[in-house]
Amino acid sequence: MIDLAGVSKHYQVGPVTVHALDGIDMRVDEGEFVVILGASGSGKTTLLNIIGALDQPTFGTVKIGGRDFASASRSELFALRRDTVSFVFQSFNLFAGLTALENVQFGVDVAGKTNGDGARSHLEAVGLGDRIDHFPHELSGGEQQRVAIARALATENPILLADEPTGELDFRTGAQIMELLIGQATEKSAVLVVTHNREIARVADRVIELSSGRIVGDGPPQGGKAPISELRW
Amino acid sequence: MNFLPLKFRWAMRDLRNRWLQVAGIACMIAIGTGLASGLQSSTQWRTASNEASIELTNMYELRARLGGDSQLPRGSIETIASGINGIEVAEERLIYESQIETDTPEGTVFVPSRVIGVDMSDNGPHVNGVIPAVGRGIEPSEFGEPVVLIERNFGVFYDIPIEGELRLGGGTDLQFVGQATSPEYFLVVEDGDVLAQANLAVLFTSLETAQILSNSPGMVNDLVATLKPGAELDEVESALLAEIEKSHPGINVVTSTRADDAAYVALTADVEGDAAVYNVLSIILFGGAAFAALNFAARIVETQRREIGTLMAMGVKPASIAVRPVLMGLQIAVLGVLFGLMIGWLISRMMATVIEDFLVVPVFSAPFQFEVFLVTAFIGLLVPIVAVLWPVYRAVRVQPVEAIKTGHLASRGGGLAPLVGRLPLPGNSVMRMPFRNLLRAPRRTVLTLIALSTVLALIFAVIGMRDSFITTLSEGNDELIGDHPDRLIVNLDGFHPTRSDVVADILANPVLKSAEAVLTVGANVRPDADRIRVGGDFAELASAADAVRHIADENSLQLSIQILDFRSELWTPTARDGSLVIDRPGIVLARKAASDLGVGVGDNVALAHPKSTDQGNYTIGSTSVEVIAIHGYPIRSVAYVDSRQAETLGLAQITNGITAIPQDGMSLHDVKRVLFETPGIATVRGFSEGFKAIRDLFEQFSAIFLVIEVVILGLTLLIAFNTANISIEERARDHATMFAFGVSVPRVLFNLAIEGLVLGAVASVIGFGLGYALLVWIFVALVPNGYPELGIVFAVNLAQVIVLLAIAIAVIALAPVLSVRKLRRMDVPSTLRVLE
Repeated sequence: MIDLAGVSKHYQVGPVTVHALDGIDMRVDEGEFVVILGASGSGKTTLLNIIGALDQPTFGTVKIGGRDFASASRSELFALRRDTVSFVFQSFNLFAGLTALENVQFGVDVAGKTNGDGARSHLEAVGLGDRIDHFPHELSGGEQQRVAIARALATENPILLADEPTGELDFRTGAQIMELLIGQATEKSAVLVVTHNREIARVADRVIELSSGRIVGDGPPQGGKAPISELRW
Repeated sequence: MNFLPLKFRWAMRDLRNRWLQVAGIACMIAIGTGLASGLQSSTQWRTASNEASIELTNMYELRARLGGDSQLPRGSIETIASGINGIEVAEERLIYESQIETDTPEGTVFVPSRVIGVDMSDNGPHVNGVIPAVGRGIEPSEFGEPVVLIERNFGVFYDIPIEGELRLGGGTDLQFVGQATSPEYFLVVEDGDVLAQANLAVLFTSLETAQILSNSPGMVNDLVATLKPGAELDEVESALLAEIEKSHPGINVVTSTRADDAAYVALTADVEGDAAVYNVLSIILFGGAAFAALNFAARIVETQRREIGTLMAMGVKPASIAVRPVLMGLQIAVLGVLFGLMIGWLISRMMATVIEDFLVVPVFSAPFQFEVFLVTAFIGLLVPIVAVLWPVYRAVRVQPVEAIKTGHLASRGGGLAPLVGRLPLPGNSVMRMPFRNLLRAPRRTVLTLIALSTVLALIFAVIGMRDSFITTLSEGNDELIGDHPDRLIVNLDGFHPTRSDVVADILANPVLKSAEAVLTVGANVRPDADRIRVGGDFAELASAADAVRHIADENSLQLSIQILDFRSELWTPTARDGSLVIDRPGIVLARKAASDLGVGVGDNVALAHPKSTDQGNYTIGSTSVEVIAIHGYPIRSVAYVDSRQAETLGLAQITNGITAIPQDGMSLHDVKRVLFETPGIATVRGFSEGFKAIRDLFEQFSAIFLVIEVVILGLTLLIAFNTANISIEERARDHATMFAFGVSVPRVLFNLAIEGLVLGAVASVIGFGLGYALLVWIFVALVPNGYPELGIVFAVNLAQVIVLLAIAIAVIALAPVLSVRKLRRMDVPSTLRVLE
């Protein structure tokens, strides 16, 4: 589903070349719930952005669904984002002018998935059936993140990318969010979660650990996959 | 620790990051200050130039003229005047009407003329000076010789050379040696027509020459005087009248003051009328610009609220927090005022060029108006600073914890937001976004709408003013010429019986295809039917006509009534309301006259008018007549009565003019040439000629109107651009999120354009509504004060308004396209992670 080979990302900051990613090789298949773990500056968000077609690598190939997007055109990248990947952001990034329902409907509309479940059912699925007409500022942080997840799910795209989805949430709410995300890793789709929180990595099927732009670890969590109820942070 | 240098550096970095927005807001301030200072400067230097010119020429304060054809030996009136306490300088003149034939670059013209003989000895005249504008003055050796100076307005209108020859009615050849100005003709006003230079050639000459030309050796018929400081004008006027009557019983004398002088009134009214309109325009435009600046500066400061919250959390005092935004306001203010003063100076120069072309005054200077620019600059500096202080005040009132919260910039949805935000809207979520963005922050939307509406209202008002003046001119022209563009009026040299040989000869002249006698007399009208008390008998109708003008009061209007045949096939006034009935006494009034008198068709008015007595003399009579119709000519004083009712008015079988159309194949010019030497004719003029000078002037002013329109449209674009620009900045994260979900840049731009379209459409509707109200107010409250005789025809070119509306909406809708680069170059990943 996701196949990266020799992916590097270099930035030029004045005279200095920053190697955000350096020779990344990885593959993610359907049904996987993958956590990309790393400290600040390790390159995990850059990796997520490249997978999500928000950014392009300096070197290497990025195959999504068997197609190489490393040197795709701008419009192809836009199309990939509409049809294949969906995002959940740390700071939710809901549209302040739209209600919860309209925010989710946005996901349906841009992906053109009009035959799928309605926006309302996605909101109900994340437990917000009674808050559909609320604007983002009328919702709590956890509720906003659940709306963001519902929006991403509403696209029905096979790859769900979440960047520090629990970063702004308390433990209890964060756990609820993680539970939602884990549930999305089905046989047709994969979920990639970027975090610096090792505790969260415990619930993943697979943990890819980054350091200085390189993969320093790739496998199941240490001590095996733990249930959500065991998480503490 | 002194934070000021740090804040200054910080503010300079803000400037570097936001230079486009700062420059945009500064441009709005610049347009506001520029137009305000430019227009108001013109008022200052026009007033100063007029006053200096009047002072230089020592314009009369009191004038006495002998009625009809009366004349007195030179020295007789001056001696009387000199003996009256309060008169400082008095000089006699001899004035008579004629016509001239002269060559112009476009051929020979025949124009009604007024010869003014003045005492030119000892560098005179000392009252109502005659100042050569081009050429030279008349030398003492030329006193009594056929040497004259042409009035400058006439000379400019016909582009007459500085020196040359002309021919006076009666066949006398005159040499003109220059063109001169005199205060009674700084603006040429004749029979209520302003800018009448096309139809009046005033010739200034020595008193001796005028006496010879008019065959009145040693005689005078006019006196102008100035008063000693502190002298009471009314007392001096009464004393002068009494003394003349005592010394020369039976001579009718009509006095008038400077305040009655048509040119002086027009000159003053022109400046005051224009100033009032300029003030309104500049205040509104400046207000609109200031409002827009306030709105945008506030929005920029709002984007700093998180930083302000952080500063508050760190215990920085509010006054200290305010320094950085105030420095930004100062940057906007300084830039705005600098640009503004340049724009103001350009507008002022442009106005000066146009006005100098049409305003012929001996002293004309348009210096830089420091005071005006200083006041405007001060306000221009103040507005942006106030604009940033307001949001800073709002920001520091918020709890720091609120200010530093993520999403604090999202509208909290106070006021109407909860209601309008949930309005059901059609379309999918992406389509709804522009509407939701507008509705989620009603106050912000309303502020933007006010700024846009204000400037659009101004455009509408400016177009409306231009269209209304043009329509008024056109309708006036159309009304007078009817179906015959060459229709003309032959003014006789006095009153004649309609069956006299003089009249018969003119009516039968083969150069005229069709001709009819008319009678034009002065009258006074008031809205009620009460009889007017009149006093004094006059030997001549002309004297009675003069006297009529002097029984006017605030409840009455002066009229110039033309008595003509309402069944004429040559020409009749158009009845806009009512009809030209001929079976009962009735009068046809101008709409403005009817409006000012508060009467309509079917109401009665009381006319005070010259009337023949049983003894064959004339006095003032009063007749109650019905208003039978409203005609289409826009000048208030013009009225018409059917010739069958002349007897009712005691004016039957008398004429002083003949209206006619040229024979087929003959032009107006040909007719003038033939009739030039005909006995009994004073002047011949075409009805269409009077409009040319006004139209020419208007064409010059059209350039200024166009500049104002372009400037205002530019301001609209600036407001729209700034709106789009700031919106893009405010919604950067929204747009980044949309990009993350695969929404394309054109689609985001389209949404912004839709938002602009809605804003533009609503602003246009409001703006044009406000503009309409503004226009009505200008015409109802301002114009009548400056131009009481003019009945403006309210007109707005709908097609032009629609085009302009479309341009305005398009400008507002397409303004976001200017920000496409910003969207295209957006660092999406970074923007997505920005925590505001």
